[in-house]
Amino acid sequence: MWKKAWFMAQTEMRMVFKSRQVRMIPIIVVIMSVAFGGIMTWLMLSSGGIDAALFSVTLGSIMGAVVIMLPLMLPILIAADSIVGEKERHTLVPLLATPLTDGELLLGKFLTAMIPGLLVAYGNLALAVLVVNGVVFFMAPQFLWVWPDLLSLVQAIILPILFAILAVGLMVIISGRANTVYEAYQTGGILILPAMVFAYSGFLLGLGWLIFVIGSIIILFVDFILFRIALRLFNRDPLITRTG
Amino acid sequence: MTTSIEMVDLTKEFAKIRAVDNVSLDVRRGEVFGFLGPNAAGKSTTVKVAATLLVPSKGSIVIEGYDVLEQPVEVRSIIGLLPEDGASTHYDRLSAYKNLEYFGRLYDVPEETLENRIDELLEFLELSDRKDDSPATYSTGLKQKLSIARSMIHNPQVVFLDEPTSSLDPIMSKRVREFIDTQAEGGTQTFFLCTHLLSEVEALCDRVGFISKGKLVEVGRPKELRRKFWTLRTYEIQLTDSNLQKSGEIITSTGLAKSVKIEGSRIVFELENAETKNPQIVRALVESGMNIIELRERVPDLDAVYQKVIGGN
Repeated sequence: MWKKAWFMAQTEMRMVFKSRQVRMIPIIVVIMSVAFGGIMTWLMLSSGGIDAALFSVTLGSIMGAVVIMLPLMLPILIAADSIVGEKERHTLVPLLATPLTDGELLLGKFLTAMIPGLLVAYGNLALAVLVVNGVVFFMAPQFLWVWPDLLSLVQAIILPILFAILAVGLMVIISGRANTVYEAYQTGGILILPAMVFAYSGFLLGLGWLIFVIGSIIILFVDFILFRIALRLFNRDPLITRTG
Repeated sequence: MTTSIEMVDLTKEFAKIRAVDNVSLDVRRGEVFGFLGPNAAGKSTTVKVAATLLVPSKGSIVIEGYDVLEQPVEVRSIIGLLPEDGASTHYDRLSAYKNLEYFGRLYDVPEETLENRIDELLEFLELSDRKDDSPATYSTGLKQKLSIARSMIHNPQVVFLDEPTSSLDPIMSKRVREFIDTQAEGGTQTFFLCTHLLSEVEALCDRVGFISKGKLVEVGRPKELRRKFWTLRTYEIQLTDSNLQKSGEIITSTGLAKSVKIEGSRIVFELENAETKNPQIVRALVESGMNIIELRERVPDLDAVYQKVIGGN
């Protein structure tokens, strides 16, 4: 199952990155995160008299949201392009006529959407960490290291995976109904981002590891349910019937 | 002959529309079977059900021993599909070669043979010099040829071709027909050809099935169907002298022909049991001193059969 899904994902990733819209998103994400992180750090340090612990918590909360949420734009767009785009470009029927199982097809689509999203998320995280701590190093070297602490780092590594599964699962469900990439992306954005913000707000409270672990388990459970629903919906007859 | 495709009471409904209605049909291995019918007759829906893309509402299809409902992966691995509007179904972000390579790997074509298979198909379909170009830069005809190559990439046992030469110019259509003909020569591959181009069926198909409003209305060899729908056979005769009037009277006087008429420089007559009556007519003409240059049957083409079966004429 993995071998074919992985081969399919590799080819599809090469294809989706030929879309200028898709290529622009990592650039926008990195520019926004780095600029936002650098400016926020500079502003907070410029105001003076800030406590190191409060500075770290405040910056961690803001940057946590930026580095986890912004890169989600990419898997949402890729999922829309890869699933609805197939319908729009009439390439779906030959693909569905291959011996791929429904599970392999769905896994291939998940990998296509998630892998670039996660690579951008982690690359963006690394750059944001460098920029924020670089600004701190030059403006307030006494703070040494302000962000991320261990919890923020684990959150910034684990949550993009959980949220990406959630986003792609929702996009698969939406894509069954949408007829154009734009329509799917728009609907996806409207449905997914508020859900992410709501989910993430629990982690912003700074309630520590216990809330993070419980929250992650809940999201993982939701991911599992969504994947099951997506697998049930992502099969040939309804896809072909709706495509016409 | 072994059955390659077996449909039993196949029915497919969409909401209140019955697109395919109790179709039962056997297609033999190695046969080129033509599936004829007007637009929206149910041809493409039948193919989609056979290709496991749609689930039948009732009935079954077994392809080379595999049931489309129970063993869809096995079915898909042994069939090739050229879908309706096949020309517009390529990945424009990949080259033609990469398109074929992608599908070859999805169809589990061994890596050591895939390159040769792609080259062979591109060569045969005269696409080799454009293999590195995106299909987006291709003409409709070239795209259709690439679709045909894709449907054959894994050397499938059964090939479903939905309107393979639609939107192609006559030269390109001929080339595609030659390709299908060459592939079918081996006798091991079964071709299921959906079309409304009767000339294509005449040129390629061993048997044909007519579908109308979802129902299979006739199945048979083109020659058999002509015989079935034309009990009266039409002949035309050409003579050396120009005394057509007299010759016509001689034929009429035998009392064997149902009708006799003069068309240009020929006499055209209709009769039953031509095998016994034609020699008598020829003898009567020769004995009256007429010199016959040619006597030949006017064979009704499949178009006429189609008009009778589908159009009810």
